[in-house]
Amino acid sequence: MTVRHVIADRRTTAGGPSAGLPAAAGMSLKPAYYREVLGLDDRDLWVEVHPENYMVEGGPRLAWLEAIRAERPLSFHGVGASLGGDEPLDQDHLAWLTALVDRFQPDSISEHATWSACNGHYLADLLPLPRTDEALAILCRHVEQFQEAIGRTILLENPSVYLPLAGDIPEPEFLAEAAKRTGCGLLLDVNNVYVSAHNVGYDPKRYLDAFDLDRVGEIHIAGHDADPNHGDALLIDTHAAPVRMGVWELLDYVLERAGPKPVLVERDAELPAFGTMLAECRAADRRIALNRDRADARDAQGAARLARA
Amino acid sequence: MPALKVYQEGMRAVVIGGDPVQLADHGADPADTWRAAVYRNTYAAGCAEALGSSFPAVSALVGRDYFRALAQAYVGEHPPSRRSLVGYGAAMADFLRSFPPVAELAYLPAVAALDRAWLEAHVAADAEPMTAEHAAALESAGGLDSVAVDLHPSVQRIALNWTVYPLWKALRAGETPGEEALQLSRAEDAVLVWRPGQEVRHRRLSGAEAAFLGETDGGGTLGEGADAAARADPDADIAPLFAQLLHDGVLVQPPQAA
Ligand SMILES: [Fe+2]
Repeated sequence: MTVRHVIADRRTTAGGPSAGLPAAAGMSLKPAYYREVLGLDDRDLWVEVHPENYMVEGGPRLAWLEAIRAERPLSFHGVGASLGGDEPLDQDHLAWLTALVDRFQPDSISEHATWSACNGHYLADLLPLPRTDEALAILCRHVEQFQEAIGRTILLENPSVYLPLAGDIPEPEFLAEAAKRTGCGLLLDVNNVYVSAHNVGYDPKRYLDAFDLDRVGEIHIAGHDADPNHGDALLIDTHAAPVRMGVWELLDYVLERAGPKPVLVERDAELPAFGTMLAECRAADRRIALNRDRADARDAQGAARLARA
Repeated sequence: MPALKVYQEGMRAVVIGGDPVQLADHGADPADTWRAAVYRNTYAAGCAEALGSSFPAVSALVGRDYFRALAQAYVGEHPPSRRSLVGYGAAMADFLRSFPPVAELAYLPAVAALDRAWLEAHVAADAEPMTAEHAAALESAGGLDSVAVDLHPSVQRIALNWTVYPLWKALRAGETPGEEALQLSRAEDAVLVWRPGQEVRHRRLSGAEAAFLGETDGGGTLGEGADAAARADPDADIAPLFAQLLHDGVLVQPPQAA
């Protein structure tokens, strides 16, 4: 395989087992952005949606998504599966999701290593799992059932942590083990790492050093805010602000080690003008490109060494 | 460390308003349990936001802060079970009817019913409405009376007991309601909310139209619809009534007849 082929592969396949997104920046697709995204002259930009927002019979939302999906890569980022919940997966939710996957054929599907429902009550949040053997076993069983039901492998995302729970398994190991047992890939949210490290008190770079980067099929970056009541003692993963400098730095740290990956600029609230959002995506793209050049240089050096040997 | 299920039930109790201190029994450091307020806030805010976007006219009438409190009471009584908050709030009109703090705003349930109808029409299945050309072709092929029709899947017929429609219409259009719209009184009214293409539409429904649509709902013939309209209003002119419904894209042909 020539160096050129290696580069081509890296651009189209992002590493993780289920990832088919380009190693470029992606944008959270919100209804406020439909008009501007459709027909946008930006070849590599991909979009991500929460499939739960499209679990409807018909109407303009689905029509917009269909038109936009015809133009660019699409990622489904689920929030309702409750894979870590100690109760059976919700069959109604799975049926809706399967129908959406069949219709839109997303390039990537991801979910969270968290739980969201208890006794049939949907708690509309990504709640923390204690990192125990029991929770790991339940999570893995559900990831397998979920993948089986939708006929696809998924990426599993690391949570943002506000309240540390007793549990023996370090989070990077917990996620790597889940990926190993179920064949799923990982979604590394560096904003979640930044926020959790701050809240719980660990070194984010050591966390990233321990993370199974080979299995990462997508990276998230996002904005966070200080808690309105407790200030900087608690950082909240709001997705309501621009990406903070510390998160950009962690992104660079990951890209330097992992090589180019698809990077989503995740935004769910306080949506800025589309141009501002696009500028943030292009900033992410520049960082990916920088690391692509570095990776290419490394490949070239390696190839030269091999040729000499 | 207790079993996962026990912890999750404890956390659920905290999320819906219980004392976070109990999380100390579930693997949290007692000095940390105050942090669980984040989860409670996220749940309350997420549900309130979903309700606010589904009931914008109700929210505009009572004000954002009051709506937030009202939403919290709704969530307590009707917690979400579906794993998507789109469409959450189906029981809002009934809830408002029996919620003492808004008893004085007796017209509020009618406003909520219209907001809900808008959402139902917005997310209803897509279908190609029956057109005037289509009807003309059927007529020349053997008459319309025996043609079976159905309502477009987005059609919502809302019977109101308050004259809130002009007010709701102004609020939905983002306009300041005029004097007339603010004169609310108890009176029977009927409103049609539907989505023939990708845009939700609404208008008043006459008694004859309501009878026509009631008869054809679920697959009556046009002849039966016309008879029902004439019974409801003997003075009604059926041909223009039917032409208007076709023009509005309210009817479809059932699959077996199409
Ligand atoms: Fe994320």
